[in-house]
Amino acid sequence: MKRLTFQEIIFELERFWSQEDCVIQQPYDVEVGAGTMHPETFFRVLGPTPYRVAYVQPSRRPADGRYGINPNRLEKHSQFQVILKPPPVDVQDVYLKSLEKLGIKLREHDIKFEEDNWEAPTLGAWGMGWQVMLDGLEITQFTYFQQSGGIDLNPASVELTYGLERIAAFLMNVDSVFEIEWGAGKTYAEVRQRAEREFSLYNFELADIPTLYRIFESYEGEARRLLEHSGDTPAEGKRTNIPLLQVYDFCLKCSHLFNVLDARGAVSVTERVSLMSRVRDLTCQVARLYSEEISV
Amino acid sequence: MNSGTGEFLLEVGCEEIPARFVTDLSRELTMKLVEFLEKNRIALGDSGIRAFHTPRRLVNVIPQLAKRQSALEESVTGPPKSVAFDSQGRATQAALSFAHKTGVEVEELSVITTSKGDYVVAKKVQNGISTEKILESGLATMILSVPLPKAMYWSTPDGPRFLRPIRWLCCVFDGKPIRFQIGEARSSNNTYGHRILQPRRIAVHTFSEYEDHLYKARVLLDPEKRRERIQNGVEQLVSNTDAKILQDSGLLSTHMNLSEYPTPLMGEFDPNFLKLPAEILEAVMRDHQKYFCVLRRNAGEGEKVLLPKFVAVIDNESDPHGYVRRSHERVLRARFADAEFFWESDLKVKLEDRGAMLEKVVFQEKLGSYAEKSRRIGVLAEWIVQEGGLAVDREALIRSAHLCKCDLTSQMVKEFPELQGIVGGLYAKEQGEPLEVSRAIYEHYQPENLESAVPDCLTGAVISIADRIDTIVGSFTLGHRPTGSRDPFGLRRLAYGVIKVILEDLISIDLKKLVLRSADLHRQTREFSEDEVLKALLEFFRDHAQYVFLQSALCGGGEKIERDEAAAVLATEHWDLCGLAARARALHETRKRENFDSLAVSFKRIKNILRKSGVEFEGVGLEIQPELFEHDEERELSNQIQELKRGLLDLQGMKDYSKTLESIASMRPTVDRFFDKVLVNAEDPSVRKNRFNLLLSLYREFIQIADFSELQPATGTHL
Repeated sequence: MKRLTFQEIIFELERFWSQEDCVIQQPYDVEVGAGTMHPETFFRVLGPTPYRVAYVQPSRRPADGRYGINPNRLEKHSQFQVILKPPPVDVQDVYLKSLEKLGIKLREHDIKFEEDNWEAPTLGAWGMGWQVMLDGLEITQFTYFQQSGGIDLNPASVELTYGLERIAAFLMNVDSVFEIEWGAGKTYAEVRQRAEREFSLYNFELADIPTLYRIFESYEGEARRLLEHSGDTPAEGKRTNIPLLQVYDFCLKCSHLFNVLDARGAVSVTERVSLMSRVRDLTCQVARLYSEEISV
Repeated sequence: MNSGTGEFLLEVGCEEIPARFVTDLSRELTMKLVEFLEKNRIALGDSGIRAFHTPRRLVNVIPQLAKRQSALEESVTGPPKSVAFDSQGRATQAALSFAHKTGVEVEELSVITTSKGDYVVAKKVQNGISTEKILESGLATMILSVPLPKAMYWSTPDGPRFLRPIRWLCCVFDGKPIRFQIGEARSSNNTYGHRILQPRRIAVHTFSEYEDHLYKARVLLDPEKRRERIQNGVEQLVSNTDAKILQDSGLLSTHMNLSEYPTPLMGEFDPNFLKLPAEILEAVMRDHQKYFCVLRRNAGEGEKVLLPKFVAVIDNESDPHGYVRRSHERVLRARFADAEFFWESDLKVKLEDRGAMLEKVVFQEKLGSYAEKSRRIGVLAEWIVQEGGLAVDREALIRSAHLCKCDLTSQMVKEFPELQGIVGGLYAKEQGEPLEVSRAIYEHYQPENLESAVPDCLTGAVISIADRIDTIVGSFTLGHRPTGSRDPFGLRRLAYGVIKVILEDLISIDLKKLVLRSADLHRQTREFSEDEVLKALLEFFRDHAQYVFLQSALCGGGEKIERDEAAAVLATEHWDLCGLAARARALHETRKRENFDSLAVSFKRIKNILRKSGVEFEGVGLEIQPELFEHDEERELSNQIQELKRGLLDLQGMKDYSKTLESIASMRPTVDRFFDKVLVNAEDPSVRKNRFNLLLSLYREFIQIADFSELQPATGTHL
């Protein structure tokens, strides 16, 4: 089998999961820390309607940036996210088949499902599952979602999060993510290294702390204002006139700003708890209103 | 083989059960199954029950399970015989309706004689139904009733819950499948092979067939066989080389529970990484990658030299192309490169300068920063050294307290939190701090539990006590106290550590005073109800000290002391734990020779009398007026108390608790005679008061050593 490039890995996964009846979505256009924060996960796991979706999500972790120097750490990495609601009974086997599509001959490797329970505190979301280890490398987070936005999920969803850079480095047998062949003859370094350097520079050195706090509070205030907005009488079949997706976008903005402030070393442990719980309060309210609305 | 029994096989097939829980889960399931069968009167048979587990299956086999429930004989008591039968012995209407109600023929009624007279009894025999039916209707509920450390659901919240999803059920009794269902999983006589190597469906009818087929399908069912396979494989990898494995039974158990077909494999890393401290390399390999470390076989005595190798355990039979090894090597290289980066960049900052950063690191929201904690540790540590008269260099002590938490700001500790303290110690050494200081920092989180070693250096031991006391007392002032099995702050473990260090290093300090000193420091920043906190803390330490005292090795060695002996010495209100341990040991020894039973009874009596009398147990001004004595027994007791008092003073000075106890035991006849002859509650208030005082002075001597009322009567020879 021909060795896949970074973009071909994405194509293969998209093709595989579209054959498993997934909607193939696009990355969300607001900064997020993980594929879970994409509205296609956050909202779709709520309520009873079956749904299957897959998409790539560039995920920003400001504190993990290393100016593009460290071979394994990135400010922005790429997750391939799959939501299966409800989970099929053979979900593990289906997942393993997707690895074979990438050219991994499972019989020649060491695959383990090691306990790892996952939590996203700002989303009021958590689940139980594993990190999937391939020859000692963590390649996927495999989670049975139990709660999102503080709400018990009915039914549960399975969330699969593939770490694309790790998988690509593994398949290409390279030590640095920057040596990954992206496609069209370009390396990962050529496509992404400058961004790594510049965002690290901003996040660690240049970000203005008071400004970021101010923006955080503006977005938070706008989210609160919308949540308190009752407006005109709701349209038929709706409980509120609140644009919940918009409120949620503001939550994502806050969450990202919090991460930048954290990377900048501007958040003490106490503040951290309080800022995170402020964002969580908002996302949980959004989830509650959304659930009520779809159960009308 | 008895034709009334059949072989029973149950396999609960799961998605990967967490390695740390699977052994306990298998045991719990086995217990529930036995309980279920007993409750349903199904005999297990002489061969009992066996249990096996892998990450994906929980298995029980019962070779000779009864095919039927045993019969149940039930008797129902009816009306009196005189009512049920007339004088001619003919059944009356009462008998007829009783027989009808219980479903027994009138002729089958019998009569029993009770203390209230003769009554009619209906004996009913309920024949057992088939085991198969009971299994079919009850197994699902039984499996789901197993207690779980962490439950999850995989379909809907009202659906089944287990540790991980249940995906198949293989259940065979006497060669035939037993039918039941959990969620979407329907039972059958099918099992499945190894997930990757042999993922096929296999039909089975007996356990031997099951075990055999699974073996061929690359599943080692018996955890012990997996453990052996790993051990032997590891030994083979190092045989005839200069290497040996750093034994690690915890890691071995983890791997036993992570793979159905575990195979060890050796890899190598760049020897340049060996310039990093071994502690860090080991933490990366063991904790993050679950690798066994490899040591040089012929290192010097007590010397541990890492080789640039590691052993991974893979869930596969082999690695013919070396793919798996190379990938593990690559992952480890990246991990080591990170650690190397942290090591080098952390060292650029002096630990001293990290002290200032600690002002911003919160220890606990209401208990302030780690900088504040370090200052409190310093104060307590100095107090301990003074109070205990310890030979510790003051300057090194202060410096250690000041620096001990500084590594919390290092990148290394953020990445490897389990190395806190150790990393600080290594950095201190590297940056030229005095040896005593670097060792104290390195060791101050020891002992991790009751089994692990206490700090080697006394400075480290003192810091360890001070740090833990500060956390425990601080948490109690906030109302964070362990309840039942809940102990989110790990305070129990901390308390055991404090007690263990005090006893092993013979640090003779008054724990109550230390707790008060610590509470004082916390009160400078916050209000709390001191009496209540202190009461709770002392109770907490008393409970934990009692547990530790019962571990003979920690209480002076030798025979295990008894629970009541520990309780008796801990009830004395003395808080020098070393002295209390010595008292307990002496009490245990003396008790073999002297009979304390009647003394315990008398002591209890004295306590009760005094409690009812309303006299102050503590306080001063105990005046005994000999002129108020009316009996010789009073005088005799009074004289003996004076004698005892003088004797005890000397003996306790020498800490000779055995002799002290013998003196106390010798008081027994005098005390007995006193109670025989003297009425404490005399009419005359002054005589009465005098007698109370007499008893109180006796009580005060005894309670120096133990609260004898805690002693339970001996059941053995010396009565």
